[in-house]
Formats: sequence, structure tokens, C-alpha cells
Amino acid sequence: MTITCPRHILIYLVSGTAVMLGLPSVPVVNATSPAAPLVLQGGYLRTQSDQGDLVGDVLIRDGKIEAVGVEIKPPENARRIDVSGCVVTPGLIDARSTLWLTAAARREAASDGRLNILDGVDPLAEDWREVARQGITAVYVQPSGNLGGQGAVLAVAPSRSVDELVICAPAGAQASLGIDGSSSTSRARYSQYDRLKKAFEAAQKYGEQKRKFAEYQAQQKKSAEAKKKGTKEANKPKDGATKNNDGKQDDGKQAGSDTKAPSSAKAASTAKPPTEPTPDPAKEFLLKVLAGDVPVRMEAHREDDVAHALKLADEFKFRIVLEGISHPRSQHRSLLERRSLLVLGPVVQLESTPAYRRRRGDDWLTSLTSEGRRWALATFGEQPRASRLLRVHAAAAVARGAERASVLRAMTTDAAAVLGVDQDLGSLAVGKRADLAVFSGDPLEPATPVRLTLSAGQVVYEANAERPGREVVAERDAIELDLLPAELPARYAVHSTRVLRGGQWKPGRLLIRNGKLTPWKIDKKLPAGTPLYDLGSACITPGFLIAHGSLGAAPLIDDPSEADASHLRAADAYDPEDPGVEALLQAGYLRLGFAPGNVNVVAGAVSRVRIGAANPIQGSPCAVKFVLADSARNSERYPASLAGQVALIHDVLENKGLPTQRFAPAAIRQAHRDDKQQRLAAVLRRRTTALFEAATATEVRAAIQIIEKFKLRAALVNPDDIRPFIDDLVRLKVGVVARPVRVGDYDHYLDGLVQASRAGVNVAFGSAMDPLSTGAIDARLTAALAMNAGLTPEAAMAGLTTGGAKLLGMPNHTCALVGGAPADFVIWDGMPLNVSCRPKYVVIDGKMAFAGKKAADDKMRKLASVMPAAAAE
Amino acid sequence: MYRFAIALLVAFHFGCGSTGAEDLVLMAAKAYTAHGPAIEPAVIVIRDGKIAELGAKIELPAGAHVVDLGDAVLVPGFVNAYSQMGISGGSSELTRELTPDFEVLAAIDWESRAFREAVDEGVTTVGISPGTDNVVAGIALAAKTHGKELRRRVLRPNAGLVMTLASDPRSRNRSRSRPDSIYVRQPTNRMGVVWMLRRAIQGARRDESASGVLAEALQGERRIYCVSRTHFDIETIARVAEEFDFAPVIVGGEESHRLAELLATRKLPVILGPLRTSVAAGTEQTDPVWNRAGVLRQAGVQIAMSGPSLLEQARFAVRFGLAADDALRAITCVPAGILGIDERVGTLQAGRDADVVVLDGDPFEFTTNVQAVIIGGAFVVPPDRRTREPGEANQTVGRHAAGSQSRPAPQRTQSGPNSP
Repeated sequence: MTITCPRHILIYLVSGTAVMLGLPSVPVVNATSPAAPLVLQGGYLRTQSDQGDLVGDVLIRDGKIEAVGVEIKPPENARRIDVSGCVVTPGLIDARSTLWLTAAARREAASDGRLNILDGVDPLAEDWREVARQGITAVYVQPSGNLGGQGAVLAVAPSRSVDELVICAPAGAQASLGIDGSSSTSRARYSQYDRLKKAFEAAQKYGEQKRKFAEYQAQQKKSAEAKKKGTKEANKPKDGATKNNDGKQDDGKQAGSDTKAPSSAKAASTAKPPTEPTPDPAKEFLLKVLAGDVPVRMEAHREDDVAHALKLADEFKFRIVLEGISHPRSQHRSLLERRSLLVLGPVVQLESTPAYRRRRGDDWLTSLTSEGRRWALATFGEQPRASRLLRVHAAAAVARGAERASVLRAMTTDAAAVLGVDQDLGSLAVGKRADLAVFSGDPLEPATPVRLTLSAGQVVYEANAERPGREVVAERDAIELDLLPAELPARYAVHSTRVLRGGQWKPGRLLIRNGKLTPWKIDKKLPAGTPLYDLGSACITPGFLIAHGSLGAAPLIDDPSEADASHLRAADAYDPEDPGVEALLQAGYLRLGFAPGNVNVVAGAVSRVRIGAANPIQGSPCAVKFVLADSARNSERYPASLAGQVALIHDVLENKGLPTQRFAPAAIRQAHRDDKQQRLAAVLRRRTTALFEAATATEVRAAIQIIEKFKLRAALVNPDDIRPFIDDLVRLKVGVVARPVRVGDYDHYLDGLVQASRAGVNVAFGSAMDPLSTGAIDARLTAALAMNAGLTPEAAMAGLTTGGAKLLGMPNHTCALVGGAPADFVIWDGMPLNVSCRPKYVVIDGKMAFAGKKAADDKMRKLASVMPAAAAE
Repeated sequence: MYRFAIALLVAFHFGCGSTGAEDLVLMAAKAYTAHGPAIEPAVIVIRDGKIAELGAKIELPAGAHVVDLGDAVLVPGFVNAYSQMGISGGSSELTRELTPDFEVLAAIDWESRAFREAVDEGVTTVGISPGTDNVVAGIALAAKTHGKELRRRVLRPNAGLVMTLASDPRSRNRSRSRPDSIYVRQPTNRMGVVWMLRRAIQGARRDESASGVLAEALQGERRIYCVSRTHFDIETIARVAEEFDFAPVIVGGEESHRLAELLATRKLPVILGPLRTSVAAGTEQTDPVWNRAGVLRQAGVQIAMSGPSLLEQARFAVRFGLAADDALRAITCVPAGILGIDERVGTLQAGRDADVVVLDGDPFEFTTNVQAVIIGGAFVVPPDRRTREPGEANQTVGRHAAGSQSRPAPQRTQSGPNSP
């Protein structure tokens, strides 16, 4: 079957769930002979060139794209790859990465431009594999510091030498203002600016000196030649015509010396002849920058730094590409007016946030990138493998309101233009380097697996999965939305063609009466006078669950003085006014396993929280948390070792725990003791879940042994690699709460989750400590990335809803749209496992708890209309 | 070497066709059993991971998988009596001084590289002890260095109680570096170490009902190891032992040669620590003598060795005066006896585990290499080839034959000793 109707493909893109099948993919590198032409047939080509989007073929020969078009006749010897049903884009570009860099090179800094990043490249590093697996084919790398030096665009492909990797070098001169540790005071900031200025002035002076010396040399040469000629000429006539010209010559000399000699003599005595400057490669490089051959890549975030950067660019007339720009404020307008080239990212901060990136406005990205301005997306990765998450940032950019097409350009054609490599990269056009990525769905979604990655015509990654299905979810062409009113009546019904019930998307109606939910058959008549809101094909799901999270409140819960803190209850530290709570609610999470932190071996009780509800704490604790990770080892109190942790947990569960050393009145001590005993008895009777936080293999094994010995109902929290333990997990019915993906993770972390899920392990998703720092998307992001690695959409969705609830022993109706459950649900502006989508409405107890902004409304309409329209072109 | 490769090739040829748990027969030029006289030539029949029969001439069981190792010399798998191999997340519970029931069993990373390196050197069994930061450190165990099933790897979860009578425990005192901490740890000096040990023992003795590990050990139900290196520490523990009537194994014993007579009369065995050839060094400034092992043995002290490069240590001891026989016993059956696992490992005898090291010459010749290591009847180094496809096996042999000038590089493997 060939796809003839592009609209279907796009619908399929929008409804990305159908495609995420596939076995765990192992990167396969085929040494395709560069001589053999290669043709990709029948793909949906997003060429990023004048050709636009089309269904067609790409012919590749000798590492270049030879033809792009409909039904190209391939040469006889060509290798053919059928990519019908897949989306083909130019290879993605990470405009700022640390791929290929050694650990030392990632830190190396200078302030006179003397470094060349190619000297810090390790061409045998293996990190490229995981990056290529996500469709990224080129990265920009550079040194660091105030004025570090030469950056380069490198390929993502196997290599034996640095030269093989280089696509363009030098591609930029790295500079920064106000981002390092000494940027805290305005004086320190000024000195950074001053250093840059001095460096460029020195380069100018050097250039001037060089020029003068060259002139002088040229002059010397000339005069030497002239002298030679002169003497020759002078000698010639001397032989024959001395007598005749004698008097005349003398006259001339006399006359000349009268006018010139005094001045030249004076000059010779006062000014030395120009000397040759000591050759300085750093300044030579800056001369290229000043000549406009290489742009300056200036990272600046605060308005004053941005102003300084622009001032320098004006003064020295170099080309400038600005990076970061977290808080442009007053400089916003001048940036827009100057049409400065920008490198922006990271859109989501997965781990720690540097001070200069904190509190970026929600419109930070859109305000800088509107009106078709050219910008490049970048991960700003601090670890080489971070570039594999480029599409996470792309999807997050869309979620923040950036245009889909613009974001794709920011990773392809616009990125190439910003990096100055648009001759070679960035579009599917004849003569370009054959860097391509083939996606089994929407390229902007992190959940979409890559089928094929080509670098210079060579296959550098090929999924060995079965061909992803091409099932197209039938839906109406245009979605006309009956938007919900801000004030919902006491009784109403909603209708959508996609309601998540029993793990499946089905057309359905929900009747909401007095804050309770009743699923309603479509053909059944609604009670008289019930308003029905038709939401078209908008997805309706129960609120999602974070199976393990502390909302950044861990320090409030934990009391690190004694390792057995089983009397602590996380719920006692729950603050419904916490800004993190609102962040979770707006991100579509309505249930939370609210857990204590990880500094105590028996950390305390985990509570069920209904986010946004009037009475958020639900019943008695649902789990007790034990920590075997190293965070609970503390040499200031027992235990300080893993073996000690294990011994302590044994003692506690055998009711041989040490008496508390804390001072407290007898009554309180007794109350604590009672609490402990009651709680641990519930764990031993399997009435509450035991959560074991364990990271390394040894810790996980220790946890499994304890679970087995005491026959606990248990789940592992935040394990690093569960692949060796899947049999044990299945045998003991132990679930897993997956931690958020970290920047430095290897793919086997996700592969482990996928394998466990396939084997029947209940996999739920946890959150990082503070939802504000990650934009509260991390649990959904983990699910999406696990789908990229092969998790089924059903399993991913279950992990965020009923599966996770079951793991924590929550009641059956938790996170399910079933009759009698509280009317808590979320209406999404797309597929919920697509990171680019956001909740449109969040309803709690039948009442509107959050309604997306106007921008989201527009986007939702566009979602239905824009994409097919683009395809029709 | 070349013959060895050919022999393997022949062996595969016979072995590949048959399936199931058939007997494995090793044929070699010589075997030192660490039990009786050497056997020459040597034939060992291995059945179900155990040595079924061994001798110079044996009727080969029908259908056996015969591996002719040619000139090779067989010795029992080495036993490293004392180590902290594979312990992760801290080897001591250093928040307290006395942790008699501290067990490292739960904190061992069985995939640790240290185990694989030990296997490469021919070490098949290892004693794993808690670290030396505490006066009474905890419980030691004995385990195999390789094996798929962890349960079967641990030979004895309870191989004895480890104490430290050395200067190590005082170095963990934090009351000076952290005056703000309320968690003050003792002792602060070496005499404090002795005081704490004596007090602990007195406490365990006095309190009859104490279910303590220490009390059990003092009653002789558990082996006691004491880490002591200087002669005065060894003397002190000997005195304390006499006072409280127990017989510790001295671990470390760097200056034990000065007390050879005392140790011999009191029948205190010594596990010599890692080989150190430099003069007075380390925090305790001990003064080792190169013929330490020879002097001790001469006096009649039972010696075992521990630490990395076990075979090299034994060779070193032989080089400076220890009898070759005693040297082999010091890295095989003596440590096995001390750990209480000599019914399983440490000698080549019928009924013992088939843990065999294949050497290409005399064990104490410095140029002799470890060619293969067999644990529980399976080749671990190089990996068990019987599980491979015939083509693959031939390929491997071909490679060995090609590089016959050097020994086959030790290969790491995940395959279990009991895999068919």
C-alpha cells in the first residue's frame, strides 16, 4: 500500500499513539559502501527547501543528495529502503552540544580566544550512537570561558580521526558574558566585558602592526628592487655616457637632496621601521572574526550583558550570534530590530538550573522567535549524550507556543543558517550532504522512534524493529470546539471521540453530576436539561499520577537525626499553597504519591494526595518508604554503609529497632512508637506498599532480598538499571517507579523499563524533587521517552494512571473514568503522551480548576487545521 | 602451548557432538593436589561440578568429554583468605566502634570487576571481611569468585568474626575534625582500641544471656580473626586472647616473624597481608622481612596468604625461603581450612569442588602463566567452549593456534560454572 493522501499521514502524526510499537532497537551500523547509491522510497519528505512537504523519494550518491522528488527512478545498483509511512527530515542539528568532547575539554576555558575545540575532540568516543539513535546528525561544539576560541560543527557518525568529523571549522568564536561564577557583581560583569573588548582591541592592534609591517616589507622590497634596477641603470650609462650626463646628474641629485633629504633623515632618526609582530594564532583567529569570516557566538542572559554584547558587535563590526538570552527585557526590542541570529535552549531544564536561567518567563521562547525569525534550537548539553534529548526541547518549545514548523526549522535549515553551514546541511535538496533522519511519526515528539539515520549517505542508525504500524485513527477533519465555560453547572455532560477508558481511546460521553462522574452511552438520552459540551476529538483522560514525588518539600519532611524515621508522615508537610502544586495541576497531574525524601533509611510514610481537591490528603498512608541508596548513608549517625542500611531495615521489620535517642516527653515517645509499630505492621501484613529507593545493582539486589524475606508488597523507586532483576521482579510481583530521565543517562536505563514492562512488571513514573524546576513534565516525559525505546502506549498510559495507582495500593477508581469516581479529568490539546501537548482544561470535582490560556485555544484549532493544510501544499 | 591448542581442538571435536551433563575429563602432565604427593601424569574426572576421581591412570567413563591439556600442570583453585572484594556502599559501619553483627553479605556487588580480576589470576574462592575501621568489625564470609547463582556462590555466610587490634579504628574518630558533631566516635588512640576490645569482650563474657555474635565467638562457636600488623599489636592480641581464652587468626601480621615462637606455641595461624617489598612504610611503619613466611613456617606456624596476586606472593615466599609445598598450601588448603570450607575447596581430591587452575609449567616458576581456570567444573578462563557452536569453537582454536607464541588472553565471561 502506498500512501497517497498526505492528510492521513498527518492525522497519524497527530495521533502518535498508534505507531509506538517496536522491539528495543539496537543501533546497527551498516558499512554501506559509499559508492552504492541509496534511495529512500515513498517517505513523507519534509524537505525544508522550496519543495516543501511531499510524498516522494530521495536519491543519495557519494554522500550527497542527488535527487529529491516524486517517483525517482533509482539506478540499477541502488540499495532501496522503503520508508513509506515515515517522515523524512534533514538530519537534526544541535546548535550547542558537548558531544565528542573529552571531560576536560568540556570545562576548558580561556579569555583570549586561544582554544580550538578540535583539540579537545575524542573521535573514538561512543556517545554518538545514542545521539544518532534520535535522528541528530550534526552538533556545534565550542570551548568555554569569556572568550574561549574556535568552535566547530561536527558530524554524528563513527570516525577514526577528528578530520572525519569536521563539517565546518572554525564555525564560530565562543564568547560569553555573565555566565560564570565570577559574574555575581556588576564590577565582575564589567571586567568580563572589558576583557572581551581588550582582546579585540589587541587583535586589531596586532592586525594593524601586521599590516604596517607588510607594507613596510613591500616597500623595502620595492625599494630594494628599485635600487637594484637603479644601480643597474646607473651602471649602464656610466660605462657609455658618463661624461655627457655627469653635470646633469649631479644637478638632479643636488636638487633632490635639497628637498627630500632633511625630512627623510628626520623620519629615520625619530620612527623605527615597523617590526614584525610575534605570530599569535589566537589573534590571527580573531582577525578572521573581525574580518567577518567567522561569527562570534556570544552567550548572554541578562539585559546588561546582551546590551554589552551588541555594543561590542557594533564597535568591532563582527558578526554576532547570540546564545541563551534568558532575560532580555529592555534589549528585547533591539534584538528583534537587528534581526540577530539566536541560539536558544534548553527549553526544559531536566536537572539543576543555573542562576542565569532561572525564572525565565513562560513566553521567553515565543517572544524571541515570532515572525519567522531565524533561530537555532540547542540542548546546551553539559554531557555528551545530552544531545539525544534535542527533540524533548523541541516538543517543549511547541508546548510553550512556538510554531511546529518553526521549531523543525530551528533544528534543520535555520540551525544550518545560524551555524553558517547552510551550503551543506539543513534541507533535503540536491547537492546537500546526505544527512537524513527517518521518523516513524512526528519528528518533534520525543516519543517517536527513529527508524533510520544517515550521515553523509552512510547508515549510522537503523532500528531493527518491525515496521511501525500505519494505522490511521479515523477522525473528523475539522474540530469545532464547544469550549467549556469557566463556570461549569452542577450537571453537565462532555462528549469526545477520544475518551480514555479501560486503557483505550473510545468515543464517549461523561455525565457529571454534583462532582461525581458517570460514563454515559452515546446513544442513551441524557437527563433533560443537561448541557452537552462537544469537545470533538480532544483527548479526555483521568488526571495523571506521579507515583513518587516530594514537590521539593523533602527538607520539610525529613529529620535526618535518626535513620529510622518510620514515624514521619509526608502528609504532615503537604502545603496546598505550594507553587509546585499549581504547577502539577496545570500539567495535568491530579494524583500524587507524596513521599518523604531520601536522607533516612526508613524515610517515613507516603501519603495519597489529590491535587487541587478541597481535602487533598486521602486516607491513611499508602506506603512506607525505605532508602537503600547512598543518600541515606551518613557518617554522622548510624548507618554509614549499605550493609548497615540493610541491617537497620531488618531490625526495624523484625521490631528490634533501636530506641530513639531524641529527647521527647514520654507521651510523645510512646505515640511515636505506636505509630511506628502500626505502620510497620501494615507493611508486614501487605496492607501498605513498601517502596524501596535503590539505585545501583547492589542496592536493588539488597532490596529484593528484603522484599523476598519479609514477603512484602513492594515497589522499587528510582533504580538505575533493572535489566538483571526482571525475573525477580516478576516472581515477587514488585513494581517499579521510574525516575525521570537524566541528561547523562545511557539508553539502557529506558531499555530496562521497556523490558520490565514487557515481562509484566508494573512500571509507574516518579518525579524529580521540585516540579517548578522541570516544568512538571518529567513523569510524562519519562513515559514518552520510554515509548521511544519501545514501551507500548498502553503501558505508558497505565503507568501514569491506573497501573501506578495499583502499585501504590490506591482504590480502584483512582485515575480512572469510572462511575462514582470524583469528576476529576483533563482535556488535552493533543495526545497526552506527546510532550508538545498540554492540558487544555483541568476539571476537579466537576469544577473548572484550570483553563489553558488563549494561545492554547488558538493552537488547539490549529492542531486540526494547520497540519493537513501544510500537507496539501 | 601449541600442543595445548591442538589438544583443545581435538577435545572440541569429540565434545561438540554430545550433549547433556556428561563427565569432563582433564588430562595433564602433572597435578599438585595440596593434599598428597603430586600425580604424574594427571587425569581428573569431573562430574556435576565435583571431582569424581583423580589419579595417574584412570579408566575413562564412557561418553566423557576429554580435554587433554598436554604439558599443563594442575593445581587447586587458589583461596584468598582475607579481602574486601566487591563490597559496595562502605566496608565498615563507621558510625560505631563495635559492630559484631555487621554483615557485608547484603552489600556485595557480585558483578564487581574485582571478582573477574581475581578469577583471571586463578583465585576461585575468597574470604570477604568488613573493613578495619571498627574495633569489632563484623562477620566475614567465604564465596566463590564466579558463578551465576549467587546462592551457590556463597560457601559460608558465616566464616567468623573480624576484630581490629591495630591503629586503624582510631583514625575514624571525628570529634576533633567535627567539634560541632554530637556523634563522637571512639577510640582516639591505640590503647583506646585495646581498651574497647577488652571492655567488649568482658561485656560479652559477663552477660551470659547476651545473644551476641561476640559471645558466641568467644565460646569457640565462631572463628575469630584479628587484624594486627605490628609486633606489639600481635603481642597484645595474643595476651588478650590468653586472658579470655580464645585463639584468633592473625590477619596482616607484617611483623609476625618476630613472634614466630609465640605464635607457634599458642597455635595461632597467620594470614599474611598483601605483599610489600618496600621497607618501613604505611601508617604503622612496620618492618617486613622478605622471608617472613619462611620464618613462620620454620617455627611451625600455620600460614595463609591474602591480597592481590596470590600466586606471585607464593612465588616470592618460595624465592626467599619457603618450601614450595608449604607455599602452595598457603594459598589453597590452609586458607580453606581457616575459613572452614576445606570440605569443599582447597585441595584436588575426590568429592571436592572441581576448582582447578591450569598452569603451563611449575607453579613457582616466575615465567609460568595461568592458562585456564575451572570453577565448579566449568572453564571460566577462557570461557566454557563446550556451550559454543562447533564453527565458533574452531574459530577460537584457530586463533589460539595462530598466536601460539603467547598464552590465550584471559577472557571474561558471563557464563555460569554450572551451565551445561
